[in-house]
Amino acid sequence: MTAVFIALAVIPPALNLRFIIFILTLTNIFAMLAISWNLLSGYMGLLSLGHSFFFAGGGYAAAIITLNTGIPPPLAMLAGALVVTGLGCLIGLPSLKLRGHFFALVTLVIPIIAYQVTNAIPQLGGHDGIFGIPPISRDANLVYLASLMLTLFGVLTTYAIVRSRLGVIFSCIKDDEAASMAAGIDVPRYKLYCLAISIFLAGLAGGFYAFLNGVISPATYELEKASLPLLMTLLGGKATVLGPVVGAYIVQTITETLKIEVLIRSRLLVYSALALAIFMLFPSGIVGYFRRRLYVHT
Amino acid sequence: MSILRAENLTKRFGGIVAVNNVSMSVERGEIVGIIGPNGAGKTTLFSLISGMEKPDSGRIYLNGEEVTGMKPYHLSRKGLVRTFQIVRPFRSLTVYQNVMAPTTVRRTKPDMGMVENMLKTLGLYEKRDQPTSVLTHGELKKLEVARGLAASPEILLLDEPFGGLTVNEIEQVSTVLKEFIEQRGSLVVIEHRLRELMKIVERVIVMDQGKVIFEGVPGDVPKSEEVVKAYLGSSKVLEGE
Repeated sequence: MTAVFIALAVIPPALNLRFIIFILTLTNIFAMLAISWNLLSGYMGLLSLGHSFFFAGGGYAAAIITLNTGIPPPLAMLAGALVVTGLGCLIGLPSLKLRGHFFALVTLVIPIIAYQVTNAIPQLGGHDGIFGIPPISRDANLVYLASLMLTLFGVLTTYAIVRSRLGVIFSCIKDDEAASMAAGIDVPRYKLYCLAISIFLAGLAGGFYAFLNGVISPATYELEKASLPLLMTLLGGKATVLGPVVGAYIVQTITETLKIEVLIRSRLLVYSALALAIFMLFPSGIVGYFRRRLYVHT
Repeated sequence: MSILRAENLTKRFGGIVAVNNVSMSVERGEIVGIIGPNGAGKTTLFSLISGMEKPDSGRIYLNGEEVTGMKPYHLSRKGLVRTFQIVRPFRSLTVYQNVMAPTTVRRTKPDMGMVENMLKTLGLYEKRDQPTSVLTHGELKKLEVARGLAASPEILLLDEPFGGLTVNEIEQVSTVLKEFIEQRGSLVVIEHRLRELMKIVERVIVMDQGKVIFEGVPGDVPKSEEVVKAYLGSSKVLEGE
């Protein structure tokens, strides 16, 4: 794994292909988004269909902060993620009481509301969004390395959580809420913790996205941004540490190779077909599949 | 002082009074059995005491402190733990992790010797590192009891711990329960397997249609006309035989 990471850090900048580097940077951002989704929906079992809100929210907050105060982008990203975490928790607090599909439904609606609100408020850039967001660095290689560090941070965070007492608690809540309460777990509190961590990571990814593109618009709320992390995580393996990253690289590669005019129009069809194939071939995802094979042999 | 005291508990679900003005108390080191026909309100009574449901009226005291309406996770930390009639294992954890979940959550140091002994007595020790999916139904029931006991409760509420167990397995569960009692733990047991229950309990509460219709030593249960009526319909039928 370390070897792969080092290879990813060294080879693309050495080749110095701007296009590839941009795509890989984007991939890392989506990997981070998938990691954030995996924590909430994979490990905790709360299906979120609204991660695009946390993503775009982080982007908006970071953009507004840096444009209004002149704070350097990395700090603005952090602040933006904190702002959207606070906002998301406020919205999430009542919906955490909902069980199963109802939580998913609420999260599905949130980005739609956010889209309308952003459209209507000129201070948020309205329909056109916010322009002229300064880049993290003029050097594309540096930005790429930063995105790689971001992904690594996400992976390590997941690993630390899964290995800790928090990981056991999240698994218990996913498996059985009533039994968790009987075992002494303050279920609402830990759900909120998980939600907050997940939103924070998604917000970081969103902030990075805004600085990479230089613009953030209501289009970021679109369903695709909410469904991509879901698809990536399921493909790579939900409730696995590396699953979301593996999934993100595969999906992003496929998306970019299929960027032919005809296929762009039918990309939802391609996604759906891919999702179906995953569920049939690898119900526990690619990482889950290999993990299972490994366990059988040991 | 009683470890657990419930006063005039009432719980309604729509028009049905599931628990109707029930009072009960449990002493330290005592085993109390709760029996009654299906739908008598036994499990609802457990849910009220363990904080899963809020009573419409009435009060609950644990060690003299009022705990009415307190959440199950707070009660669990105060020493009142329940198990479930339908097994509720944590499916993504191993057998051992399941048993240790309550102590992991509380950051307390578990009594490893006790846990190991208990798992051996229950016949779960060999399977401790396996996922719960390999367990039989009987083993899952035993796991439920083991998880309850590993939470080191002062009082444990067991909801049908013998349901679906073999005679041998009931023996195993009874053994760990007796050890728990010897260490001044208290038990409340809901059970349909009356013969096995009567072997371990000192006092029995019989419920029917949300009310307590009998309370006393196991030997007196069949003598109560109310109880016979609840189980068999009218006592006239018996007399007619």
